Amino acid sequence: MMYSLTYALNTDQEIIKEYCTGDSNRAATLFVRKYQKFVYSAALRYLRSHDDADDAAQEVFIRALKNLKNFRGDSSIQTWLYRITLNVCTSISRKRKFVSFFTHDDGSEIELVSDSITPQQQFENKDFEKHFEAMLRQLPEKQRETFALRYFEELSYEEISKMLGTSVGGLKANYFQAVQKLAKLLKNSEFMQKWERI
Amino acid sequence: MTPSLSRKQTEEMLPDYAFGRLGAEDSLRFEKSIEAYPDLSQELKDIQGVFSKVEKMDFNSILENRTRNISVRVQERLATKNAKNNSMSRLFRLVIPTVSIVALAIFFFSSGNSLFHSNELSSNLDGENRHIQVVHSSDASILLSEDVTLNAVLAEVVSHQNNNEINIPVQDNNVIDDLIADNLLPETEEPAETSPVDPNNLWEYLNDNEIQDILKDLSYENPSVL
Repeated sequence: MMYSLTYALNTDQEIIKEYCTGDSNRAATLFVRKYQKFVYSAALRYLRSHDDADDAAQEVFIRALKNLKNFRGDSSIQTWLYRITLNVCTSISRKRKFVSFFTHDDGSEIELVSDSITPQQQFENKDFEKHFEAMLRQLPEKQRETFALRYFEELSYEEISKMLGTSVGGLKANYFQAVQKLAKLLKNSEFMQKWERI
Repeated sequence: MTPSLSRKQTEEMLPDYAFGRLGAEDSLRFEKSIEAYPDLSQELKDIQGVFSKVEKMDFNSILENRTRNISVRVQERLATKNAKNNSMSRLFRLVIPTVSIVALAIFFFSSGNSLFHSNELSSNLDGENRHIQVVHSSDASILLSEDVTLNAVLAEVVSHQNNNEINIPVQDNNVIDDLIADNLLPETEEPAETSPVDPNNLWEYLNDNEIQDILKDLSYENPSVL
């Protein structure tokens, strides 16, 4: 049933229409499912904590669903969600800094582990995630976001340009530089050498 | 051979070509152009070699796993927020008007009560009741605030004497003044230097009980008054 509905409500416009005039609960669920990974991973890149990213993603969708009826379609839904995500993350980050000032919590927590893989794979993934995340953090923010949105989210340069407010030419240059730096870092990393021995 | 793309253009297309995200036509142009830049060719090989390992990582399933309950939790939070909003709107629709009505009722009741006392006093003066009833301090304060002296009150009573059979001799004013002075003496033994008791405004210093006592004494001294 859900599959057929997902198939029936393929585009954002259809989901919005369903949310406004039809079964709002079902449309909201489809909307969240469609963009949850995008919002969560963007929040994770900014907040570096799964708990915070989870809270942020929920808050983003609550804000988005509250305003979905007023969405005019000047930009894509993804661009709109990305902007909300940045606002929410900035707010959470500010709160976290305030709390860590009193609790001496460095707030660093990155641990991407899936429950559905074997312990060996979990160990490798965890190890690699730590390395890869550390490398991504070494990139300037624009390069990191360009890389993530292009490489992981597979967005077009035009879409990323609207999200980040950078020209398409600038984004292409950023992307190349990001990939170049990451390749060098990965090549020289302890993780990659260990992986090659295996 | 002149490359169809500049070095900058080739660099910009390199990542997409390395990750297989260039269209067929662009891929052909890129392959022709990169031959002119050996350093970029080497860079391409490095990038493809390193990222082939990265591509094996199943980021998607990891994220899928992490985000699988977000839609449920969003729905729960939305439901909670809606419930809160409903209770708030109920508060505004029912409770606040009810409280306002009760407050207004209390206000009118208390206003009507003091108005009732004022009417009672004036009816006494009009002589509808043919005896002097309990006079509350609020009534006395109304009289005093309007600068009504005892003599003026008595004059008002005398003016109604024919209709109401009330007869207050003029010389009783001295008796009343004496009674007031007697009642006030214990409290004015040590008057403040800055505010000495003014014998002409002795009513201002009386409370309910004292007024009642004076009126009782007045009736004993001259029963024909009441």
